[in-house]
Amino acid sequence: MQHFIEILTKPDNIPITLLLVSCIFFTWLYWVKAKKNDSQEMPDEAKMDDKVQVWPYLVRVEFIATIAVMALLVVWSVFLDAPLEEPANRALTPNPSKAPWYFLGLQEMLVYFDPWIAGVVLPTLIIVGLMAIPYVDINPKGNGYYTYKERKFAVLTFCFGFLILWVSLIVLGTFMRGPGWNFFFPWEKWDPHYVAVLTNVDLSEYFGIPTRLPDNTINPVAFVFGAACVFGFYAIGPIYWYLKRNDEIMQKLGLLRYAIVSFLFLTMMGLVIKIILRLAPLMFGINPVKYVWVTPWFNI
Amino acid sequence: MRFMMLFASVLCFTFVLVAGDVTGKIVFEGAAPTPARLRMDADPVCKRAHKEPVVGEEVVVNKNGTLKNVIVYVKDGLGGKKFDPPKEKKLFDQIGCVYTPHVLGVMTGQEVDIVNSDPTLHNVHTLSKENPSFNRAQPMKGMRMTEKFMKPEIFKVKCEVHTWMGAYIGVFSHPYYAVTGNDGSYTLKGLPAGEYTVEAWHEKYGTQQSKVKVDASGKVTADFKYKGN
Amino acid sequence: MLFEDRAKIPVEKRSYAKYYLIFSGLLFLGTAWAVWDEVRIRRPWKEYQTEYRELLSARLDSLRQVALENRDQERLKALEDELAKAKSALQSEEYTKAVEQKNDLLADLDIATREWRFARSRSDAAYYQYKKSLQTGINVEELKAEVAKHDADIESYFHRMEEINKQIALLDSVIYKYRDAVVRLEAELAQINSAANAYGLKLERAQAAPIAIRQVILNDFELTPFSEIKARIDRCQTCHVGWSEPLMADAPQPFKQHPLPELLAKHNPENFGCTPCHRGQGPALTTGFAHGEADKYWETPILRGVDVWASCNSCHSNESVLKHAPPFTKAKQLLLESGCFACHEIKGYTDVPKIGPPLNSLPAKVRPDWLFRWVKNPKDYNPHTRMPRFQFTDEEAEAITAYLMKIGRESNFQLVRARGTFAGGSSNRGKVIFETIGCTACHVAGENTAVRTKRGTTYDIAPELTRVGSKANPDWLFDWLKNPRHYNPDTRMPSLRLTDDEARHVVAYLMTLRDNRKLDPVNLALDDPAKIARGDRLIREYGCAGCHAIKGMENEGKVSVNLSDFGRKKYEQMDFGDTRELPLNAEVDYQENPDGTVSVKRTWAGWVYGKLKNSRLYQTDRISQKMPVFGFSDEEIRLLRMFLTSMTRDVPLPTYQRAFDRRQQEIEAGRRLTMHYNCVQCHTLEDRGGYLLASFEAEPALGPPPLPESQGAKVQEQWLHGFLKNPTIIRPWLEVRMPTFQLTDAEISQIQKYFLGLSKQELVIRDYASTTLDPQYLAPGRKLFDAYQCLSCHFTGRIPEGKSFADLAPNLALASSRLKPEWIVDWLRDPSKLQPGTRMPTYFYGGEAPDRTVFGGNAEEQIKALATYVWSIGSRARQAPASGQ
Repeated sequence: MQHFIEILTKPDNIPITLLLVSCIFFTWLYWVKAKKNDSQEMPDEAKMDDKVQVWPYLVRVEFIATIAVMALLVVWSVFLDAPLEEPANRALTPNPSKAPWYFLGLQEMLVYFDPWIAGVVLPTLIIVGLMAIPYVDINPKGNGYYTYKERKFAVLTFCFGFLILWVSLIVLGTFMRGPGWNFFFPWEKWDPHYVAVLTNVDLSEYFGIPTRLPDNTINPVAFVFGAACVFGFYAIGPIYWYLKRNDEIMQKLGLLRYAIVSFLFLTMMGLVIKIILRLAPLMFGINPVKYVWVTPWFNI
Repeated sequence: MRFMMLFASVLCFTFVLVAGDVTGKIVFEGAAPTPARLRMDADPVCKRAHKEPVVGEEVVVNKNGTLKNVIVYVKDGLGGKKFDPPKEKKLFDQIGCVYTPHVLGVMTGQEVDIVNSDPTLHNVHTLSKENPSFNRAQPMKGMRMTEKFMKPEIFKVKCEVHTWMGAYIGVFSHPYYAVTGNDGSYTLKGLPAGEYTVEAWHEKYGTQQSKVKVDASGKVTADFKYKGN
Repeated sequence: MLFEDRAKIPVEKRSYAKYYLIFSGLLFLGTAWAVWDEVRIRRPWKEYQTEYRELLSARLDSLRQVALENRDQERLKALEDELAKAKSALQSEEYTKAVEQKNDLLADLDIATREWRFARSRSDAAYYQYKKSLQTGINVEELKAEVAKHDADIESYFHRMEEINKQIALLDSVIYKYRDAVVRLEAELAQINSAANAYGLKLERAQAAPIAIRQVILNDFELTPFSEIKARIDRCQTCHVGWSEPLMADAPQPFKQHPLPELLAKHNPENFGCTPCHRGQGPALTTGFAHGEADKYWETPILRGVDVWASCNSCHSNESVLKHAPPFTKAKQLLLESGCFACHEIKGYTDVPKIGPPLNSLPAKVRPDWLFRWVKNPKDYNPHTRMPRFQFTDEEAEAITAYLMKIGRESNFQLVRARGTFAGGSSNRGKVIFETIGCTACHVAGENTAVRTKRGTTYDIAPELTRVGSKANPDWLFDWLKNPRHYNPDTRMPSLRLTDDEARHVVAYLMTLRDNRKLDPVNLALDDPAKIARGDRLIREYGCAGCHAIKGMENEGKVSVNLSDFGRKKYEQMDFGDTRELPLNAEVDYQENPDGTVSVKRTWAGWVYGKLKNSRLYQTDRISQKMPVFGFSDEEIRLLRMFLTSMTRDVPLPTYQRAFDRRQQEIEAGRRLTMHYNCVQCHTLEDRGGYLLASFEAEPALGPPPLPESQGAKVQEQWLHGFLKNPTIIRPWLEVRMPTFQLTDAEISQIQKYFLGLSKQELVIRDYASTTLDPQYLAPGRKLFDAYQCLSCHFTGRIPEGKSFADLAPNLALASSRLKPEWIVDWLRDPSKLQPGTRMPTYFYGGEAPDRTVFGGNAEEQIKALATYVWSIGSRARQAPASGQ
């Protein structure tokens, strides 16, 4: 535990700790307000019809808030020095080598996918997906007030994508990834000599299909199997469309918008499934899954 | 602050004008070793200079059972006080191929006349550690050199030509020292009142220390006792 | 509640004054705190400097008081009285009146001077007009008269000035009579007060010293890891203010004076800084960060204890002897003698000869069972051997023995028996010979360990012979003693020129030194080809060929890691095996626990300590290790670890490196050679060695003579060459012998250049035999030679009778064939300067000669005469060699 407290209170980790606390706080705040709004006819925010000018009534509050934050930062700077590490040396890189905290989620994804997927495709999809939100979100409700009932899908997807995936991957990367990017529980010491079990196998190998042939080329059977798994997973989208094609919401959304949403959503869930496939088998003493689909160009 | 206090205590000592003497004798117990006979065959001049057989002066026990050639001196307690060396010179003679005196006490900066009274080559090799060591020849009778020793220590002097020749010179930064003579007694005169560590030194039997307190009454006795083997 | 009430107030009506006041107050306090933190709390050096100022001032003040106290009080009183009197005399009527008059006259003089200057100016102007009128012809005469008038004025004012000056001079004689008395007394007072005033001045300066950061900037000092030139900033002296102040020799840190001022004389911290030697974080100004220990990312924390000497290697890696760094020199000696470079690549130790004997003809020397036991555990037979313990199993040792015996059988080495065998020697006489001629300088036999103790290492430089009778074949011993190079052409063992009889006696004596322990008999199968093949593999694997020449393994590489950057290795890169972990704050790096386990601190230093203590410490059931166990003492481990600390590639740029010119290279080569041949076992060279002198404590003159730094200036090159080739007797009374090392011409010339380099001389080809003597100096020289009784100690040709050998000095008949004439002159002038502690006295001290009758007592002429005469003795002797040498 002592080690964990050390890691927790390292000057460069304190913002992450604060991030965690503030995420929980704001989620709780949202939840309380949304629940109250959902239980009454009119949201609280809609009742406030008393409007005032931004200047000076908002600006003065912001000004005071600025002062308060500055006071906090000044005191912070007295206590916590800028965290510097050793001089850069190309012959001797630090271990663990960690990305800036806001990229730790991406770095963590590298554990589960090959660099091409984790480093290029998925970040691009995140950006594209964020850009697509205004175009695919056709639900006009929830503007300017807290609500859950009226935006269940949007809220849940956000909570899952941001809080669970993004924030918790950052927390995991900061606090639980030690030397060699090995996983350490909070109560464990970061041992540079730690030896981890390396028994990952590809999914096809569960079914006795080796990924590679003896001459180290990719086994076509495994390739087809992997492709089937991936495409099968993405087939959930069309199937769901086919089943629900007559629903009002589907009609409103239209095929194109649905295709985008379902692709992005499934990709996000796929990421989680891959993490589960990698981590969960360890608990049952089974070899973890390395890749689902191995191709000469990328691995999923 | 500590220095100021130290300084103040030094001042207190030096401003007290009452002074006293420390006296005593060096008692020798046990059988006196037979002194080694000095064989001066190597240099006929030396041999001719003596009719009687000559013996070494390493341990000389006086008739009254005291020890000769012991230096007694104040080792500690004078603080930072400095003393001017006396104007008179001391004499360190080489006569009959023997150093006379065998043990010499001088003050830092005091002049010592080193004289060769023999018509043969002598050299004076000081085996000093603090003062610069020198090794100088005096080939003629009556040669004289005047030396000063600036750092306190007790060191040996020897002659390379005549290996039996050896003597000791004790250099002190203050006038409170004495070399015992034929009666084995000493007196350290005119010590200001205060507490001192007095040390006795002998070339063979080493050093001994004693704490003395000099006060207004003016006379303190401190005897030392050396045991023969 | 509060917020709800507040929510009822319309936004326009809400007051934020309270919040504004609180937060801006907090911001103000926070800012003030940050400023205080910045200028005071984070700058403890300000406090240190204030404290230092007080400390130094107090010390200077007390010294000043003592100096004041030590003044001659009577004389002081008298002087002060006189001065007071002289000053009161300045009030006398005569003096005041004179001063008054002088002042009046000075005013008059000013007026007169001004008028004189104006008159001159008028004259110049009139003269110009007059000259101009000459060209036009108008008013010539008038203008000429005007010039004359002004000239007359000049004259009269000048007279007036002279007049006044005369009167002033008269008054001055009165005034200065009074003033001089005061000035003289004041000067005398200043003289008496000078000591106290000097302290006073220092005190003033100390108190006026500004509180400021003191920094040294070393431009172009080193390279960054990206090979860019980097400056080094060093602010250590901001806190360590008293480093150069002798008064601070016993002060507490950080004010203490540096303990080695003589070292600082060569590495002045004012322009060299501190971190090049001590490491640490130069620009930092708080203790933990400046020392680099509080900052776990700082790669070069301060070097504590003996480790600080590691820094010498940054710039002096080429030198194996550093005068001011004995621990560093010792560490290099350890490294060289322990043969670390045999398995590891170490910068600067790439072409060092193998330290062990060749193993190609062992059957001639030892029996297989001895060899087997030796391979298994050399320390069992000889606890002080340099051969480390490889912890071979019986099976492995047997295989190695089998291989060595096999190549031995194939060797064509033949013992020379024609000269006779050891039979018939007397062990008693052998013992005497062994103990007197110098064998004990390198070999320990029996109880006499004085040389080993003086040397102070855990190992001997040559095999201990206490059990040699159970090891060596006596026939081989005889052959070896007669000519060591017969068995091993590269051996360092010299020939002591033993006669056959002497050799027989020594062999007889050595054969009495037997291993009396009861050893289990061993049964070896040495002819099994599988065993031999396994031995071959083992020998290659364990790198035996690093130290020993072994047939068939001439081209084996180094078997272990390169140590050239080992000092930079991180503890994360090191494996601690099954050792327990010592907490980082433990006082020791390594600890043996009562239950037999070992705890090691998880640091670089801890790892290295454990490794050097027990090379197999980190071996586990999976990780096997090859490094043998050396059995270093704690001190040796610390020294070697210090040296390993220095093994980094990031060293200062060449401008800061010691220039290693030709002379330095020659000196270094000579040092290596003299260390290789163990010259320093007998001779004191560069303040080191002379270990054999431990056996001559009572009479050092009977031991081997020292080789002072002036040796190169002393002896003739031809003579030294001949002497080293085939030593001749210079001091017949010495029983200890200069051995014949069978040095090659190249090696001798290395030694020559080494000696010449040390005495800063160049190698010049000279014909000493044809040195001409100035005949006019010969007769006076002879006279002085007698007057100064040189023969009291020296002799010419025949050893005088009736003198004890200990009192003799060298044969002067050899001077002209051995010594350089200039050296004789220098030697006579001041022997102690050339060889401190010599028994030769100075005759010409203070530049004066004892005998005034020759050359009017001119010391230089007399020295020349003596040198000429001494030279002539040998020249005559060479024509008619004296007998009895």
